[in-house]
Amino acid sequence: MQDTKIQESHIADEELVKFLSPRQALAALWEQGLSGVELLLHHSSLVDNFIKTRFHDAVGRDAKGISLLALGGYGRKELFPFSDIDLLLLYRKDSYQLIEPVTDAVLYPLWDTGVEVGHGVRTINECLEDIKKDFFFQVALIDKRFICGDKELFTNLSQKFLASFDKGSRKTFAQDMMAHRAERHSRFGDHTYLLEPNIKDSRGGMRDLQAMFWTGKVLFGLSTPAEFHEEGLLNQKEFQALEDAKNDLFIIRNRLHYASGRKNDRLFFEYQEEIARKLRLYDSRETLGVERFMKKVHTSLYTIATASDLFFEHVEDVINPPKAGKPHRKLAPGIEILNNKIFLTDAKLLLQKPYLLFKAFSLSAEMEIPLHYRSRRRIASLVDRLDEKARRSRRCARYFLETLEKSRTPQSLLQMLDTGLLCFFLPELEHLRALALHDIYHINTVDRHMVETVTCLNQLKERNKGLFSEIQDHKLLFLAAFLHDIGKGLGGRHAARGAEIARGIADRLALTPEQSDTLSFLIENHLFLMDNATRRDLEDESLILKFARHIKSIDRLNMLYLISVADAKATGPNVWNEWKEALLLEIYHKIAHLLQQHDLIDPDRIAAVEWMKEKVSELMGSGEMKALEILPEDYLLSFTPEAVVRHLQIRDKIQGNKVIIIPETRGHYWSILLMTRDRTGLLSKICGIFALYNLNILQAQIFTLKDGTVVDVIDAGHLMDSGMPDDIDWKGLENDLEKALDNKIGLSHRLAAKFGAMATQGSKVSIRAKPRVIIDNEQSDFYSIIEIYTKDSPCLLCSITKTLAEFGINIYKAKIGTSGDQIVDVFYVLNNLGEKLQEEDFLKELKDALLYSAQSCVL
Amino acid sequence: MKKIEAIIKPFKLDDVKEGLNEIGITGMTISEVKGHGRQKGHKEIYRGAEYVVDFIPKIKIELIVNAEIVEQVVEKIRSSANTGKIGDGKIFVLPVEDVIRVRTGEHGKDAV
Repeated sequence: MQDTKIQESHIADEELVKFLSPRQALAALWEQGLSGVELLLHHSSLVDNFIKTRFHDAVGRDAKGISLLALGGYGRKELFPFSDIDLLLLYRKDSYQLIEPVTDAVLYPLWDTGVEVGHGVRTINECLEDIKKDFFFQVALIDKRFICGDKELFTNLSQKFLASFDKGSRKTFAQDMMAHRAERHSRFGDHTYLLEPNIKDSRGGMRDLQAMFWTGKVLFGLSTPAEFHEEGLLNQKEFQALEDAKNDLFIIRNRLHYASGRKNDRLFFEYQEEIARKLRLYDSRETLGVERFMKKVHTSLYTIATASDLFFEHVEDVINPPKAGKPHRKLAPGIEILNNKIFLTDAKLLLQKPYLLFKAFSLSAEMEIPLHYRSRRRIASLVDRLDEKARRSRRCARYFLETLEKSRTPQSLLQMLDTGLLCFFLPELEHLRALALHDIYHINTVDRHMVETVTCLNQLKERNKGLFSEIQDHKLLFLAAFLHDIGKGLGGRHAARGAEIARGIADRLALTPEQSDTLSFLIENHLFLMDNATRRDLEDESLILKFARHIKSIDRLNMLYLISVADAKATGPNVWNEWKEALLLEIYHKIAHLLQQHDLIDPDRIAAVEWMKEKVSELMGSGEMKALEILPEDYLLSFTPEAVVRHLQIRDKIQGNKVIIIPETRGHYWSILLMTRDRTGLLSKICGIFALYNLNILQAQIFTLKDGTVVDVIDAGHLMDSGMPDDIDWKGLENDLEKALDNKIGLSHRLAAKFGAMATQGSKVSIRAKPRVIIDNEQSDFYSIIEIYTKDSPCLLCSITKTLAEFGINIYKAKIGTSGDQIVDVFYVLNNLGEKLQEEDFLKELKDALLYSAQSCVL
Repeated sequence: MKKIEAIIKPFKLDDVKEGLNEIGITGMTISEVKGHGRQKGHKEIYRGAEYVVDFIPKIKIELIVNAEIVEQVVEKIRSSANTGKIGDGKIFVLPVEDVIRVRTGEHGKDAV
């Protein structure tokens, strides 16, 4: 035995070489362009010849009672480069002794080459027994093919195999096949498979094709696609499309096997790119080469998926025929419902009144009932005969928009897509069919993503009742959601492109000019909220104001918000999450809040601000545009252009603690411009020094520029109210203020010394009307607003500002003035951390302190 | 080698990336994280429905650098991410035992 083994392995080595080199030759031929199907046939022949040679050498050409059969893919002569070789060694009991020589001669050498060889050794009866127990064996036998040996034995098996299918088992077979198919789809259907499809097992892959033909063979006795066509299960167009899809997938699978160096059916990203290159699909201005490649892949997958869906629905009808005599309900002329499927009954009527096609889908969406497969095939064959009139038909438009609005699940829209009706109605969609953009976020092809966005939008209704009820034009909302990515795949910025394309669509659908504008706006800005929420500083009031003015209305904001959420959810499972939601809500609320303050959005105000900016930059000459960015709007609207320029010039001179004071006499008071750099407690010190110099602040406007420059305009009169004001030592005031800011002056004891007597008088003041202190955190998202109403008194402002300083509060804007005999002080503030004043305890403490200081002199 | 982890405000990501690019650093890992701290979350009431967001969205940046440049990198991150207001974030420096490149198996500094 030992010797024979060595001898055999010796032979195996030679055979190994003989076997491998043709395969390598095969690879070379493929490199030179031997196409998909031919390659497979060639490969099968190669293996056939090897097996026949070995078999005949072992048991001669006239061996009886033993045959070698090819099963599965090898049986179909679809032998891919690294496919398994499935063999069945069929024997008759009395030829049992021939088994060993055959297996030795054929199987061992095959195994030695490293090829995966599946083999079974069975008698005819054993086969018939096993097909009852093993569905996959039964299926493998459908593709059996005689290679060599006893032909009669093979024919015997074939006849008995065919006979084994009685009516009952045919039905069971079909049901098993459909169950396996459904399970396979769910196993290979999650989002990772959408990105990197398994071209054998994913939906629309080769398995679906095989399932179709196995079932066709068992149920209807059909062997080839051509026979399917002849039997009317496929019309010419469908047949051709299926053949093309099959050939494309074969070519791709060959390449994939070679690229992977093994039996791999998964189009991982690296392989996608490599194969695209090998197929000479290069990057263009509009799309990447790999995207063009994947479009081919997805087109083939969709074609096979649709064809097999239609086929299996037909099978379902055959094995479970609808009960005769069951009532069917008429929904509209030519549209009926039976057995939970919608039927289109009158082809002629459909051509006369194409809107019925759209109405059918609208009803399908609303009732969540699919169209029957025959009706879908009918629509697909009708689409070519529809014309421009149908595209412009108002009724078609109406029912199309209704379908969008009612689609809670993707089914109806996807059926509309698969029949070709949607691309007929919106030719702008055509280039997006099966287009997969090459990134890891978008798991769907663009056409499917558009449908998913609409259904996600529908599903948002539950959680966002308020928003939906406020939106005026729901049809527009859903249309915008559907078309938001229509500009993709054309190169350049898809949002702007899409907005352009939408104009044409709006025109055909007979939207009003206003609706068309809004549609384009929504499409152009569908990424606006999300981009800005994640990339911009939402605590910048002027930025939010800019956003609010760009969006202009709360209606548009609401629509943009909903589209943003739906788009993110429809893109992929990792795109929408709480993190993004938090930011999106923040930007939404801040913009909404500003949009409610109509004065801020008032075009007149915007125009006034623009005018100011123009004038200021004119006066300053060119090169000073940067400076304009630091000027808050309120500030700009409070001064003349000349004054602003003056402030900017002064600003250059302020460094460190430098203070610049420019007083102007106004009869019995002064109007004082005070500029310095901002810091905590600034206003308190200004009030204190003014008081020391006998100035009583009558009115003030406090501004802080974005770079920290303080611009205060203070109207002050003489403190003692004794007629004409004395000359004020302004220089001295300036110096002392600088010292105070340098913390070199003790304002407390100085003021106490000066006003000691008045301090006690203060307590009398408190008997009169109670002051009011309001701390408002609602009105502005960016500042806390403190309003103080009280009777005037000499050291009131010192008192209040000192208290604020004590609490570490920074004042950004203030209006200090009088209303009748009341003082009205409004401060826009933030705490020392730069945030609004929030804590309950803190607010109470602050309010109490302010009330106290508003009544008595706190120095 | 050290690992640097930085928690920053989301809108500062581009600034930090640019800043790091300027000093020759291009490799880093970025994640979206939820921050809980002194900064308060959002509570909004819209049409009677209350939206409560009890965290602050932040970005976490992680990178490994050679010990010699840690200070430089940390300062670059800090100054790029700084706004002066509460919530600017924090930077952590941690020791690293080893770094291995998956493709080649290189260890240590060669793999950084």
